[in-house]
Amino acid sequence: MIEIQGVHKAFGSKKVLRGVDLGIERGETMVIIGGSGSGKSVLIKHVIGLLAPDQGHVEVAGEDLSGLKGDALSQVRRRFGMLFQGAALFDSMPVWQNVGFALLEHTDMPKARVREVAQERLEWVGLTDVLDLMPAELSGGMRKRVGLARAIAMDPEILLYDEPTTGLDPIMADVINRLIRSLQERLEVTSVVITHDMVSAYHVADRISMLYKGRIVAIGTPDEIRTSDDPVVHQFVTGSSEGPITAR
Amino acid sequence: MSEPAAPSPVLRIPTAVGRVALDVLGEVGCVAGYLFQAAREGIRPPYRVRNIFRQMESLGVNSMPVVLITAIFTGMVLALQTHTGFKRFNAESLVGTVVALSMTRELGPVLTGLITAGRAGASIAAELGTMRVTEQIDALATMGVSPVKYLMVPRIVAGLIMLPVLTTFADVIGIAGGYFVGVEVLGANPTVYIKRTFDYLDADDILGGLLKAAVFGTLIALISSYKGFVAEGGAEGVGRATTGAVVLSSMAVLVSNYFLTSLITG
Repeated sequence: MIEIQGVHKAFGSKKVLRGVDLGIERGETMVIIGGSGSGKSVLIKHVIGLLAPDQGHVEVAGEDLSGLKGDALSQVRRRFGMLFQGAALFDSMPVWQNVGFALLEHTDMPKARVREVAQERLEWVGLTDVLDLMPAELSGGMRKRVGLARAIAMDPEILLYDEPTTGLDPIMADVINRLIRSLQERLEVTSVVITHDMVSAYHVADRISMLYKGRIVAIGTPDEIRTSDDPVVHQFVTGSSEGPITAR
Repeated sequence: MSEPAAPSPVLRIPTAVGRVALDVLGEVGCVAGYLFQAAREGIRPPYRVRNIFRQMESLGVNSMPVVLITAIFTGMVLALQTHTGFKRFNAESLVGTVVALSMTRELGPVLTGLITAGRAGASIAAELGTMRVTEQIDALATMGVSPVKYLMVPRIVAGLIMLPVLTTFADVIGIAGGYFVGVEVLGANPTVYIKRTFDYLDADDILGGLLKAAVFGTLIALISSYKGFVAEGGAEGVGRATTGAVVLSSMAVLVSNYFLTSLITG
C-alpha cells in the first residue's frame, strides 16, 4: 500500500533521513518508533506529500508522490486521514465544522447532513454534545479525539497518527489506543503510527519498525521487537539511558 | 550546504553585505513565487466569497478608525505648515491646493499603507504563523485544500480592494481637516479655499493615488501571509514572523511608492 524507497532528506546541513526503506501492507497497522528528533515526523510527512524527498521516492497505492503537484496531490491526499500531534484543529471554527471540513470543501453535502456525519464520527470516538463548542473549550484528550473524528470523516483508506498519545494522561492514552484498534477493525484502514510510547506501540501495532540515525534499523512483530537482541532496539524498548543511543 | 570558512577581516564587511543582499533577493524570490501561485489558484473557482468578506472586514473596516484619525490630523498639520511656509511669499491662498494634491497623490495612500502594514500585517502574520506552528496549515493540505488558495488568496483580494477604499476615506477626511484649519483657524475665505482645493485637482491625481493603494494592499497582504506561512519555532517564531511582516511590508510600501510614482508621473 505504501512503499518508501531510499528516502533521504536534509534541512540545511542537518541530514534527517539517510535512506529510509519501508513497505507497509494494506490493512496493517505499522508503528514507527524512535527517539525525539530521530525524524519520525519528517518521515510521516513524506508519506502524505507534505515534504518531498531529496532522494528516493514514496509510492502510495502504486502512485509515486514525488511527481505530483497541485490537484493531483490533493486527490491522493483525500485517501488519507491524519491525526496531528497537537490535533491541529482550526481554532476559528466550531467542532462540527472542523470534523466536517473536508465534506464542506469537497462535496455538495448540505450543512445539516454534514452536522449529522460529524455527530456520528464524534460518537465513534466517544464524544457527545461537543458539536458547537470551539476548540479552545476542549481538553487535550478531547482535542485529540476531535482530531481523530476529523481524520476519519471522509472514510480514508490510510490513517496517519503523529504521536497520538503524547501529552495525555495514561488513562486517556489507553482510550486513544483502544480507539486506534477499534477504528482499524471498523474501517479496515491501513494505519501508520509514529510514537515513542512503547505501551501504545505494543497495544496498536501489527508490526513495529524502529527509526534510528535516519534509517530503519529494525522491523518485526511486537513480540520480535520486545525480545530483540539488537542493542539499539533493546535499549529503546526497555527505556534505558545506557547503551548505544546517547541522550542529547 | 556547509558553512563557508570565516572570511578574513578585510572581507568581513563585503561578505556581510553580500549575505544580506542574497537573503533579501532570496526572500523576494519566494514572495514572488507565492504571488504567482496565489494568482494562478485565485482565478479558478471556488471563490470563497465569505472568506474574502471576512478578511475585508478585518483588514479594512477594523483599520478605519486609525486611518481616519491619522488622515484628519495629517490634513490639519499640512494646512498649518503650508500656511506658515507660503505666507513668506504671499501664497497663502494656495493652502487648499497643496493639501488636496498632497493628500490624494501621496499622503493618503502612503499613510494608509503604513498603518495597514502595521495593523493588518501584524495580525495576518501572527494568525497564519500560529496556524503554521500548530500544524493547522499542514492539516489543510492533508485534507486536499490548498493553504495558498484558502488562506492567502482571500487576504490578498481583501488588501487589493480595501486599501483603495481606506485611501478614499483618508483623502476626503484629510482634505476636510485641512479645510477646517485653513478656514476656522487661519481665517481663509471658505469659498476661495474650496475653489483652490478643486481648481488644480485632476481625476488622475486621485486615481493614481488609489492605484498605488491597490498595489500597497496587495504587497502588504502577500508579504505578511508569506511571513506567517514560513514561520517556525513556536511562539518565538510567530513573534519573529510578525515583526518581519511589519518591517518588510512597510519597506515594500515605501520603496514601491517611489517606483509607482515615477511610473505614474513619467
